[in-house]
Amino acid sequence: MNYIELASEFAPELILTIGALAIMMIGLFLANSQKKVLGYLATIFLAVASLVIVYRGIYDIQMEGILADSLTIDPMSQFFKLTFLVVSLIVVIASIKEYDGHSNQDEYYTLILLGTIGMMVVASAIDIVTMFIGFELASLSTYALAGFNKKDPNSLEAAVKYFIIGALSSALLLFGLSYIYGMSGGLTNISELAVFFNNNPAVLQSPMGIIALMLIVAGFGFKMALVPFHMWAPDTYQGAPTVISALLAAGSKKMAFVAAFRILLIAMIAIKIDIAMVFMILAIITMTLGNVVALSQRSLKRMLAYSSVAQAGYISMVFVVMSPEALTGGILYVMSHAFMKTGAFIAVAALGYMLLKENSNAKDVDHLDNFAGLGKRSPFLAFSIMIFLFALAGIPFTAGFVSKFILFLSVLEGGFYLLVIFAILNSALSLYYYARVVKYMYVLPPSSDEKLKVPGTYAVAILLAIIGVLAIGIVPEPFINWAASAANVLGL
Amino acid sequence: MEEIIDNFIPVAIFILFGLVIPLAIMFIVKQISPRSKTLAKFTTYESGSVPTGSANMMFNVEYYAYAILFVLFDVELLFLYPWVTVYVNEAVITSTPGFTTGFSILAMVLFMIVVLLGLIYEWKKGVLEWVR
Amino acid sequence: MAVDNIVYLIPALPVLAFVLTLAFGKKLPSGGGYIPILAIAISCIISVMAFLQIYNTGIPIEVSAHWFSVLNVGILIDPLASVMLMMVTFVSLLIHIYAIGYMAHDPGKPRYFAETALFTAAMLGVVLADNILQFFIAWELVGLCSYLLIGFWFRKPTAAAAAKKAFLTTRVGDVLFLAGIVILYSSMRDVFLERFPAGIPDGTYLLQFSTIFDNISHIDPTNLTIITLLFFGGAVGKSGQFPLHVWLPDAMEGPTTVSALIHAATMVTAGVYLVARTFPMFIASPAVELAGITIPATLTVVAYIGGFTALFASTMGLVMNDIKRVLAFSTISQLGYMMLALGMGSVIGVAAVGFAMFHLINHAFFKACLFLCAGSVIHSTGTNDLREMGGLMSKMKITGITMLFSSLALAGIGIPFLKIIGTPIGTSGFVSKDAIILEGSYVFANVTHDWIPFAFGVLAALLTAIYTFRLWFMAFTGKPRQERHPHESPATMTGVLSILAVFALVFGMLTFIPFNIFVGHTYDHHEIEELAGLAGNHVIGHDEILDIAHHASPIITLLPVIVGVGGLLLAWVIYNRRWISVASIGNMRNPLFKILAKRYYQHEIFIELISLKFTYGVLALAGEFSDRKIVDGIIDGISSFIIGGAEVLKKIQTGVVQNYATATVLGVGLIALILSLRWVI
Repeated sequence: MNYIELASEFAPELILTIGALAIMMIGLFLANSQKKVLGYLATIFLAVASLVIVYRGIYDIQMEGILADSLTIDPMSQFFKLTFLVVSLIVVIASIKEYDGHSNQDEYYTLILLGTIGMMVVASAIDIVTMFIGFELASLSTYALAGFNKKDPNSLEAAVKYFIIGALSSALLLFGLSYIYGMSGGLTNISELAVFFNNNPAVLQSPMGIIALMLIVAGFGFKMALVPFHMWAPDTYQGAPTVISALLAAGSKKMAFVAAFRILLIAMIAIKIDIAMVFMILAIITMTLGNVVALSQRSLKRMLAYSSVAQAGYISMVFVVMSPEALTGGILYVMSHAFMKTGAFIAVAALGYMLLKENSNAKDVDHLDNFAGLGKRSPFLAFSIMIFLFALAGIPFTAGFVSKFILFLSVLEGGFYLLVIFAILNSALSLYYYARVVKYMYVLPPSSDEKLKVPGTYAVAILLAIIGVLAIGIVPEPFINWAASAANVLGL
Repeated sequence: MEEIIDNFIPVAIFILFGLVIPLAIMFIVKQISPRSKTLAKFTTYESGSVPTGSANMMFNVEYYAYAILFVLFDVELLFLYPWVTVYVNEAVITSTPGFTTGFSILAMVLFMIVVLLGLIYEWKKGVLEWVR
Repeated sequence: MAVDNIVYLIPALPVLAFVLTLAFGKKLPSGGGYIPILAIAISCIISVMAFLQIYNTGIPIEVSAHWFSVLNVGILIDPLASVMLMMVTFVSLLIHIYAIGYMAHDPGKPRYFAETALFTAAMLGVVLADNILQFFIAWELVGLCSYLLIGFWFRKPTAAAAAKKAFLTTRVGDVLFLAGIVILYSSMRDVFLERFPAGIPDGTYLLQFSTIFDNISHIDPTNLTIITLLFFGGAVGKSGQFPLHVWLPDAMEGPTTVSALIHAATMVTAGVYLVARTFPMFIASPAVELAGITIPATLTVVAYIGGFTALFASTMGLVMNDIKRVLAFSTISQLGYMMLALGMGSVIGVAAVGFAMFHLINHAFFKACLFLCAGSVIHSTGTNDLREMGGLMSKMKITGITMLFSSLALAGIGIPFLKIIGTPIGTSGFVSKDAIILEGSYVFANVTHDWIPFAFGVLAALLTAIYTFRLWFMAFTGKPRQERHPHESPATMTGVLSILAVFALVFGMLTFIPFNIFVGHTYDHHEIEELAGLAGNHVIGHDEILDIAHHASPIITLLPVIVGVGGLLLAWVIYNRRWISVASIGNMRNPLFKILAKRYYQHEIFIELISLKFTYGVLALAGEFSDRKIVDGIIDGISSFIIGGAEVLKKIQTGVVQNYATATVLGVGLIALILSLRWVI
C-alpha cells in the first residue's frame, strides 16, 4: 500500500488533522470578534469528514493490516468513527454561540478536533500500543477542554479531578497492557494476541493474567464511568462547560467501549468466564447506583451525569452475555446514547446560555427550579428536552427504546435472568427522575413570563440530535443491520 | 511460562545491580574515608557560604513555558534518532511491505511541520517573551 | 372498501385534537372543548361505519405495517373490537359534551380537554391494537392519562396522593403484564425457530394476535399458563380487581367526568378487554405443576378472583358515605362480574366473551350515567357526602329520574320468565347480569358441580341492590339536610343524562340476541373447542347452555330478581321509611359495620402489617430513618428507602479527589475479590 492509498483510507483523520492545524494557525491572525468563523470552519471539517466516512462505505468494508498491522477499517470502526464525528459536529455547532467572542476559540476548536482524532484512532486500532496512543490523545484534549472556562472555579475543579483520576487510570491501563505484552512474549497486535492466548489459555489464567484483566478493566472502567471508577464523572460533567460534558458523555466515554470490545472480547476471550463475572457485578452495581443517586439530584447536569453512569451499566452487560445479539444491542445503544445524551446536554447548555444572557449573575443555571414552566417560556426547548429524556428512559418510538429492547432481549436470551430483572427495574426507576423534569417543565408555573428565544446554532444542534433519536426509534432496521454488521467483526 | 521468566532475568539482574552498587559504594566510602568534625562541616553548603533569605521563592511563570518547550524539542530530537537508524535503513524498508524511503522521509517532514507550526503558535502568542 | 382506508383516523383524530387543544385551547371559547368533541364525533361515525361493514361482510378489518422485521404496528377491528370501539367513542363523546357544562368554571379547561382527548386516543389504541406490544404501549399511555387526570387538581394534596397511588398500584400490574409479554415473545421465537429452522418467514409478526392464536398449541403449556396469569395480573391492576383494587376508590379525587369516562366506562374495562382479547390463550392454559406447586388453570383463577371481587367490593359499597366512592366500589364489583363471566369460559366457551362484553357495554352506559348524575348532584349541592344530601328530587327532577333509571339498571331489576322473541324484558343491567348468573355461573355449576362462583354472583347482586338504592334514597328522598339551594344543571348536562338513561333502560333488551351472536363470531367455535381441549376442558355448545339454563328450577331462575327487588325493598325500609334505625346499625359498636367502614382493615393489613413487619423487617436499614413515613404506605416506604439510599450514597461523593482515587484503587481490589471468588468456587 503506498502512501496515496494510505492517505485516502485515512482521509477523515487527515482532514481533521489539517483542520485542527489550520484553525490553530488562522486563529492567530484573527481578532476575538472574528474568531466565530473558526467555529464554522470546524463544522465544515467535521461534516466533510463524516461525509467521507459515509461515502467510503459503512456496511461491508474490511481492510486489515494497515500501517504494520496497527490499524483496521471495518464496519465497527466506521460505526464508532461516525458516532464520534456526529457528536463532535453537534457539539461544535452548539459551541459557536456559546463561545462567540471568546479569546481562546482557536484552542477550543483545535482541541475538539484533536480529541475527535484520538477517538477515531482508538476505533480503528487493532494494536494495543496504537490504541493507547489514541486513548491518550483523546484524554489530554478533553482534560484541557473540561477546564476551558478558566475563570470558573467549578470548571477548573472539574478539569483537575478529571486529570488526576484520568492519569491514575491511564497508568493502571498501561500497566495492565504491559502485562499482556510481557506474558505473550512481546505481542501487541490484537488478533495475534487472540491466537496466542487461545493456544496457551493457561498463560492468561495464571495470576499474572488475572492481574492484567483487573488493571485493564479498571482502566476502561474509568472512561466508561463504571462504579466505583465513576467518582470523577458527576463532578466533571457538572463543572465542565455543558457542551463539553456532552462531548465527554457521548464521545470519549464510548471510546472506551470500542477499545474494550476489541481487547476483552477478542484478545482476552480465553478468560471469558472471568470477564463475565467481573462485569456482571460491575453492571449491576453501576446501573443501580447511577439510577438511585440520580433520583436525588437537583442539578440537571449532575442528574444527566448519573444517568450516564447508569447507562454505561446497561451497555456493559454486553461483556456478560457476549453474544452477537448482545453486541449488536450494545453497539446500537452507543449510538443512541450518543444522540440522546448530546441532545440533552446541549439543550441544558442552551437554557444556561439564555438565562445567563438574561441575568449575567445567575448561579446554578442547570438547577431543576430553572426548568419550571419552561414549556411556556420556550416550547421548542422544553419539547426537545422532553424527547431526549423520554428517549433516555426508553419510551417507544425513540432510539432509547429500540436499543434497550434489543439489548435486554439478548440478555434474556443469554439466560441472565437476574441481570435483566435488575436492568428492567432500573429502567422503571429511571423514569421517575426523567418524568420529574418533564413535570417541572409543563406543570409548574414559570418564574417569569418572558419568552426565551433559542439561538439559531443551538436550535440546529438540538434538531440534529432529535433527528437522530427519532430516526433510530422509528425506522430502526437499517441501524440494527448496521450495528449487526459491526458486531460481526468480532466474530463472537 | 519458563521462557517468559527467562526473558525477565536480565531485568532482575539490572534491578539487583541498581540496588546493590550504590549501597556498596556508600558503605565503602563510609569505611575508608577520613572524618572531619569541624563546625563548618555542619553548614548547608560546606564551602562556607551562608544561605540567606527563604528557600521558597517564586519563579516567573514564563520559566515553565520555557521548560516545557525545552522538553518538547528534546523529545523531538530523541524521536529523530531512531528514525535515522531504523526508517532509512535499507534492510528494514525492504523487509516491511509498502514502505519506501520516500515514505519515511515524508513522514518525518510532516512531523517537523507540525512541530514548526507549534513553535509559530507559541511565538505568536508571546510565550517566548521573558516578561510581558 | 373505503372504511379500511380511513380506520386509522379513529385514533388519529383524537391525537390531533389533543395537539390542537393543547396549542390553542387557551384562546378558544370553552377551553377548546369543541375540538375533541368534533374529532371524537367523527371517530364515532367511522367506528359505526366499520361496524356496519363487519356486520354485513363478516370479515374483520385488518391493516398492518411492519416495524422491526418480526414486530408490527397495525389495526384490527373484529366484532370484539368493533363493539368496544363504538362504546368508547360514543360514551367519550357524551362525556365530553357533558364536561363543557361541568367544567365551565374551571380555569384548567384547555388542559382538561387536551388530556381527555389524549386519553380517548390511547384507549382507542388499546382497542384497535392488532398485536400485544402495541396494546401494551397504548395501555401504558392510558395509565399515564389516568394519572394526569386523577391528579387534575394537583394542588389538592389528596388528589396528588391519589394520582400517585393509582399510578403505582396499576404499575404493579403493568410490570406483570410486561413480564408476560417478554415470556410470550421468547416462547414465540422458540416456537418459530423450531418450526422454521431456516428463519422466520417474511410477513410473520410474532406478537400479532392472529399469529399468537395460530400457534398456541405449540407453546409449552407451563409457559402458557404463566403468560396468561401474568396477563391477568395486568388486568387485575387496570380493572381494579382484588387485591390491586385499592387505587380505584381514591381515584375519585379527579373531576367527576373523569371518573365517569376513565374509572367507570372505559379504562378500567381495558383489563376485561385484555382477557377477552387474548381469550384463546386463556382457555388453552391448563393447570400445571411448577416446582412442586400446582398452579390452577388461568380461567379458574379469573373466575374466583372476579367473583370474590364482585362480592368483596359490594360489601364495602354498603357503608361509604361519599357518593362517588359508593359508585367506585360498585364499579369494582361490576368489573368483578365481567371477570367472573370470562372465567366461566372453560365450560361455556366463547359465549363467556359475549356475556362479559355485553355486561361491559351495558355497565358503561348505566355507570357513566350514574357518575354523571352524581356529578350533577355534586355540581349543585357542592358536597360529596350523602349525609348532607336528601330531598333533592323536588329540585332536580331530571337528574333524579335518570339516576333512578340507571340505579334500576345497576340493581338488575327486570321481569323474569317473560321473553319476547327470545329477549328478556328488563333494564339492561338485568339482561346482562341475569345472563352471567344463569347462563354463565349456573351452567358452570351444573356442569362442574362448583357452586362457589354462582354463590358469589347471587350474594353480590343482593348487596348491589341494597347499596344502589341506599344511595338513591339518601340523596333524593326524605328531608333536605342542608341549607343550600340546589338547582337543576344546564341542558348540556341533563341532555347527556337523558340519553344515557335511555340507553341504560333499553339497550340491553334491544340488542341481547344479535350482540351475543355478533361478538361470538370473533373466535371460531371449533378452534376454541380444540384449545379448551388442550387444557383438558370440554366446552359445551350454545344450545346446550340454553337447555341447561331453561331446565333450572324456577327458584334459581327467579333468584337474581328476588335478590334485586329484595335489596331494593330493604333499602327502602331502612333509608326511606326508616323503620329500622340507621344509627342502630351504622355505628362503630357494630363489629360488622366497623369492619366494613374500615374497609376490612386493608389499610392496616396492606400498609402497616405488610410494610412494617415484613418489608421493613427485610429492609431493616430503611426502617430507622423512615419510621414516620411508614404509614404513608409500602410504596412510599420503598421510594423513600431508595431516595434515602440516594442521600447516603451522595455522601460518598465527597468531592475530594484523593477519595476518588482511593475508590478507584478499591475498585481494583473489588475486581480482584470477584475473580478470587471464582477460584474458591
